[in-house]
Amino acid sequence: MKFARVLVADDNREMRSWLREIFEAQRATVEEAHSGAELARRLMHEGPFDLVVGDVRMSWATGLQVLEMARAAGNAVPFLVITGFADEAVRERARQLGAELMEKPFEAEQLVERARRMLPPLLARVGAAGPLAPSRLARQPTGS
Amino acid sequence: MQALSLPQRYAHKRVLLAEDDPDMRALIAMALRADGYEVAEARDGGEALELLRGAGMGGVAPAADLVVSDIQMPRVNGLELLERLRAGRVGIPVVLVSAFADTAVRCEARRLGAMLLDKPFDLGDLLAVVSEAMEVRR
Repeated sequence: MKFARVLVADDNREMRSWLREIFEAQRATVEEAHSGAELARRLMHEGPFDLVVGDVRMSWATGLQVLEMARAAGNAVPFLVITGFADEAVRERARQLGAELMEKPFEAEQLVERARRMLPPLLARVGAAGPLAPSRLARQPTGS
Repeated sequence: MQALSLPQRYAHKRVLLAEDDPDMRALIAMALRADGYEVAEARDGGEALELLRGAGMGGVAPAADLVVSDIQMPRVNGLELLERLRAGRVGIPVVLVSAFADTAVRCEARRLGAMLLDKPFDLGDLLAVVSEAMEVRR
């Protein structure tokens, strides 16, 4: 993922750091948003991104609200919704907005595999770092 | 959230947004645009006044149909912006948003005909208040 630019949005600092480490291990460039408002700003003013990985529950606006508004503005960025509270309404909304959804907790390898599928093929392959080393990166931080 | 599901009765209505926090400005602008409004953005009350003056506000052609403004901002804050508009006999609807509006601020905002929305707010509530303020103008 050497040339991929990934935006990770989560209000939990540990979760953001974990996501950053996972994608940086894949040689992607990673930027972070800590709230729905920051996600909105980065999407509108600092894009384009190749992939957004975003939590649902964040301050000011949910990841799905920001995604809905971004789609209305014509932004078609691949968006992976990550959530620990995926009821049918959330799943349906994500589907309608053309996003993929991944339930917390998940393992680093699962995230990398999903991200590779969502990225344009060239970006997914170039500079691929191979399997993740079995380390502290493998599991999601507790409580996030 | 009501964005996109509300009937876009106010398409092409212009909102001037004054907010010094770049994240909040981007979020509010994004929500208003998704609901069909045209949005001009200002980083504080002073810039908002410059935009209004530059487009002839107070003269012939109004630059905006409504102002959404934070209260706590550098240079010219939201309440001062409201006072200057009213002093210039500009009756444009104003929606003020704030996390720290005390009773005196609330009374002054009400006296000058502004609507006030407390932070943190739901985006749907913001759009409902803006829509209501637009109705008042019609």
